[in-house]
Amino acid sequence: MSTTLTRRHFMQSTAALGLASPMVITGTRARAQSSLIVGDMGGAFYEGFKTGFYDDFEKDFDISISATTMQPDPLPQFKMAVDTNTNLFDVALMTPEHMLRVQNLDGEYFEPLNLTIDNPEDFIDGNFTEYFAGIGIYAMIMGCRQDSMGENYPKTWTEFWNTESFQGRRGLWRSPVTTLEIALLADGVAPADIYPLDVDRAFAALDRIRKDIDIWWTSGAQATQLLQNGELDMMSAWSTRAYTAIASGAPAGLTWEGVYNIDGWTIPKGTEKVDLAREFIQYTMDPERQAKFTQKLALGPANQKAYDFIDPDLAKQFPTAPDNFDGLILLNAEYWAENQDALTERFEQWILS
Amino acid sequence: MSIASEQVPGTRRPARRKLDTIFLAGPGLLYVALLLLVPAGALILLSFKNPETGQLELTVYRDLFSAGIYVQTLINTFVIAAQVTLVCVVVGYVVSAWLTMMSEKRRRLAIWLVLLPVWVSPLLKNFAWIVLLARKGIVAQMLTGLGYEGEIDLLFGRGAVIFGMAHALLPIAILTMLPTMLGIDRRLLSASQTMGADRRQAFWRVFMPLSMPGVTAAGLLVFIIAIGFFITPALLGSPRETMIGQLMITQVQQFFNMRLAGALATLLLVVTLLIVILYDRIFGISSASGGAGQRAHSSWFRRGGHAVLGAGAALTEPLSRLGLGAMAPKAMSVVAIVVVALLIVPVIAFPPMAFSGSSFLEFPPKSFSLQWFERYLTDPQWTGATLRSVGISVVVGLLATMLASLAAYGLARTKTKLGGIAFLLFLMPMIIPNIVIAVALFYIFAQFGLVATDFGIALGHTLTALPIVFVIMLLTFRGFDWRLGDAAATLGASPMQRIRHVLLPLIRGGALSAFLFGLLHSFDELTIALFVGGGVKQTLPKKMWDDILLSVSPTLAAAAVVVILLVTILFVIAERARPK
Amino acid sequence: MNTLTKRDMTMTNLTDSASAVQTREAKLKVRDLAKLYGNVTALDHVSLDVQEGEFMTLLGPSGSGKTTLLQLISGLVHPSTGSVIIDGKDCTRAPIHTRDIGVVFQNYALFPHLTVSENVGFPLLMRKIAQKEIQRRVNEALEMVGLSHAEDRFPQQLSGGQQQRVALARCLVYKPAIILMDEPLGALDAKLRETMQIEIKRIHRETSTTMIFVTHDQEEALALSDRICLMEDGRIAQIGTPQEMYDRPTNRFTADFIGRSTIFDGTVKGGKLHTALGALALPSEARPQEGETGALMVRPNYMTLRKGDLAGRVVETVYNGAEVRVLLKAGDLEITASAPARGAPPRIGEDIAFGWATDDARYVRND
Repeated sequence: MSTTLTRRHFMQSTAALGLASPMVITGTRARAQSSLIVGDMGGAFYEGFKTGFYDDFEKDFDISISATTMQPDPLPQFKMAVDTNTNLFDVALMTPEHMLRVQNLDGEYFEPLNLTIDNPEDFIDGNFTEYFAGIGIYAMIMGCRQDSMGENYPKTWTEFWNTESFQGRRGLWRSPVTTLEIALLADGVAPADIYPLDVDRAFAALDRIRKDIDIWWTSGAQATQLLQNGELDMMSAWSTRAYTAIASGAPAGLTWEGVYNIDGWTIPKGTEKVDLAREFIQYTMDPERQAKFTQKLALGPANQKAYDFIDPDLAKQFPTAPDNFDGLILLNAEYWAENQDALTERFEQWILS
Repeated sequence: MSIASEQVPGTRRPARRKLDTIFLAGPGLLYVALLLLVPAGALILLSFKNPETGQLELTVYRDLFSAGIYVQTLINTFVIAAQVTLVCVVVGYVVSAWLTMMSEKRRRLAIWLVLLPVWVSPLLKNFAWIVLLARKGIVAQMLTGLGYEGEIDLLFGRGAVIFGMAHALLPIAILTMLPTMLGIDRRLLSASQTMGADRRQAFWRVFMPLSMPGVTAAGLLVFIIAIGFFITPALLGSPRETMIGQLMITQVQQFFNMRLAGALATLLLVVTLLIVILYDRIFGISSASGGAGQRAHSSWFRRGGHAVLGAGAALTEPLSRLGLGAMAPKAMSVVAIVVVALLIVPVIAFPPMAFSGSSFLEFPPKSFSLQWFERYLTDPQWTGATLRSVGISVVVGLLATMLASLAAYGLARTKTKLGGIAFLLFLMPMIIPNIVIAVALFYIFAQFGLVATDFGIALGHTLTALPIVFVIMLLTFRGFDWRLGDAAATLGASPMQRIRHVLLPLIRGGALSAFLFGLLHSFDELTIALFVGGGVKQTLPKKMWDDILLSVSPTLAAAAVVVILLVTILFVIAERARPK
Repeated sequence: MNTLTKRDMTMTNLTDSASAVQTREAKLKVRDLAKLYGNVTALDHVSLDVQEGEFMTLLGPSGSGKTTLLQLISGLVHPSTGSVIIDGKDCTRAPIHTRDIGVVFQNYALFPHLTVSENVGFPLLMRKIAQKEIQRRVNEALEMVGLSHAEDRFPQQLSGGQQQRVALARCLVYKPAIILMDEPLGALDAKLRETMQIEIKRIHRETSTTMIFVTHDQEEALALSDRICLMEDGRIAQIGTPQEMYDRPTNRFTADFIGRSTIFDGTVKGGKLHTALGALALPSEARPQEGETGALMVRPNYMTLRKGDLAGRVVETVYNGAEVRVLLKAGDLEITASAPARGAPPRIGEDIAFGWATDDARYVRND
């Protein structure tokens, strides 16, 4: 990563942000129209979106964008911000599953996006709803340390489950979401038959590997850290997170079998800058701009046309690259919005017992 | 001035019934009642009340007990807390005893080293351990370098959690035990020796029993704080170390299930209070208040205790006959020095990581760079959180000092027996696990629009800052010689003049110290900020918590360095001002 | 364990047989004992013998070294040089708990976590004596100090005098070779002090234990002691019986410290002491050398008023019931005399003659 360049840019833009930041002390309404607050996931997301969208949008529309970091689980924050009418963000990055869970609550939480998409066939399935516009794809896949595993690393989840042939320290996400899917994949269920989940079968599969899981990681940052410093030899990890470790020089490789999910924009109900927010979302749907964020962020562009602008070598790192995408199944948001509470309770109970 | 006119505004007016000073504790007590008792009560009620019919029912509890996870976690929580307490008391005892052996000057320095990490949040300390104790981290490298072979697996297990929690709570244990130990009359030890006790016997038969009030107080305090922990098990533990705080966060923040969270809080509260009462029955916790109340224990308990200590003396006899007795103080010093060093390590590990050129937290860093400080200072999220924390903590310091000063003055001068109850009420925020307080406040504040407001966070922090601020002020007023006021009165000072020229100058140090400790408490607090902030109002500890979960960049270390620096300065000022 | 018990037994036997035979071998020998704290000499090469069964008082103003000497004997402090021999055994470097001494501390040092009987039984417990025997001896000791009724109380529930008795009983119970008492009556009021003095005297008589008693109160020393060891600046000023100390002081410090007196400093010339008030006759027993400096000491009761060769003015009279103490001023000198309370005591401002019978004065040479 070329730090010097980014840093200079960073300094310039944040100088402007500092003045306009509503978080600090200012936050006056007079200045409000001239700025837009975008909630992303911080870290590489911020770097990527800044390169792809924020900087250019600021220039083209002569406003300033201030980025704020969404919480690990954005739900309570999002709900609270809308409930209390706090202008925490004008545009918020969410997943379909997050959205559905918010929509299951009482009350209205989203503004319709009113997008005009000329060529919807360029986008992956399920990219748009009235309130949601996918921007990129990320996936729960397998990461392995090449220094400790060498060539003998598991290439499927079934092999990951094979603790005899593949020895090393293992980790999985401490959440039923994606972990149950992975367990079913490992147990030989065909990707097309994953949903609705055969929960009992998934837990039975997990039972087999439980004693060999050294760490149940709990946050994305922790997953990055574990892969980066070699605490684990093989693990499930979000592709974006795993790539951060690899980009920093960690000798790790990724295996593209797993579950993918969509990150996309939403507009929280009640924001005063709803038009500007729509403008911004429309702006980010452009393939060339989406290609640009991939310089910093290993999120697969939602607009497949973006690959026309991406170096093919780099493209291999992304979930939506054709070779990678074939091994992935879409996370079923409806299923999880429906079952997450119960399955989380069951999962936690299983993991504790 | 005639004598007659002087007598009218005199200090003693036995004829007129005077309002007892206890009424000054009113505002503080009201505060505790409104922000602790009422919310906790409401939360408990919520867990029993059907939201639709309004009828009392036990469905939530049935669900809670039928899903084994909650009971299992509750048991887990108490077991871990007990284990941590045991470690803290034993290790803390050695360190405290070591502190009592040194000269006043050296002790003061050593106490500072012990105290400083208290004000660096467990969050940062735990995270430092993740880096230092990693599989390929510096400690593992050193072990391998020393010829250790085999898998080095220090993190993510019971051992790591107990280590991390004990590390965070040890200073509190030490500070609670130390005054009792320092208060032990050294001449009693000499006396026992003239009567034929050797050093070992003098320790077991005299020093040990006399230090027990401090030990029991420390044990209880550590236990209660440990119950509310969620940071350490989340960062350093495996699923088996899940504690109830984590589940409550999940229930409230992920599932918006206030009723279940309320039921968990109720359960936690009930068990905690039962333990406190039981504990009081056995040990008596009057000593926790700093009073030297010698409690007459039941004779079976005394005899049992003495039998245990006698056994301790007898068991160590072979050691002393081997000549190891003379080595005991030296061994104790070695252990204590290692412990104090361990307390400090995570604090001093941050600066190198903050100046790292890498985009990950690594120790030792491989290159130097100022970029993370730059980023910290220019990122509005970090600076915003920092400014918010500073603002809130100043408000908290002022509010808590005001409430506590009034109350402490009232309690120090009261003649009624209500003082004891008021005292207990002021300590309540310390006796009730902070996770329960946080959830209860979240529930109540949500109904008044105080969630996701700075004011709400400040109100919550003031509540939990009250005990320490109150105790400092009470000590200050108790240490004040009230005859000085009478003396000033005989010299012609009016009540206002007495306050301005005698009372205030003499309590200024204590008040400053109380203010700063209140401020430090708020600056460091995560649990309440996590709930009441609602993810909307980010305090600095909350921002750090999010960063640890989301990105873990050295910006965190840069922020930590700033925090540590700030806290150190404030702490030094507060310590200097503290009444001795 | 066996060794310990054996040692204890021999010690007990020794004590018993020694008291039976009444040998004149000194119970305690202090030889050339010195203690330096940095540059400060707390005790300056002191030697002292205390006999079996003796009541010896270490008397002196604060800072005179009496407490240091006591601490050195007990082993609470280690000497810079010199030796401490108890019962013929060199204990100079012996750990405190092996010395077979008992100490009654200034603040009593009662264990607050133990009851009265547990406190008293503590030294026996340390000696691994059977519980039954402990109980018996504790009862005995408490009976001796008259506290049998208080055995289950805690020290802080007792009055100062009662605590004092417990401390004493705690020493008596194990019959140590020597009992050391460090200003034990200092914290008591005047009335209680007197009672306790009598009590201590009685116990000393009944047990014939060797006792060393530290005090700065010369009246207490005179009242209690077989012998007094008066200390000044880390050295022994004089050792003697109370009568010797009072009547035959050998130096000016003793003369001044013990009892009330008026001291006339001067130089011996031609068989007389030349002082600020002129040449004074020396008592016949005095054998001064010509030209030496010395002092005449006159007790108030030997001072005659309205009769004598010297003149002064009454500046103060103090009535204390039995007599009137009269303070005179003659030149710069202050003279203390006493007059019977009945009759006509001198009035303040009265010019008055005073004097004494020559042989009632004591002459002491300056060192």
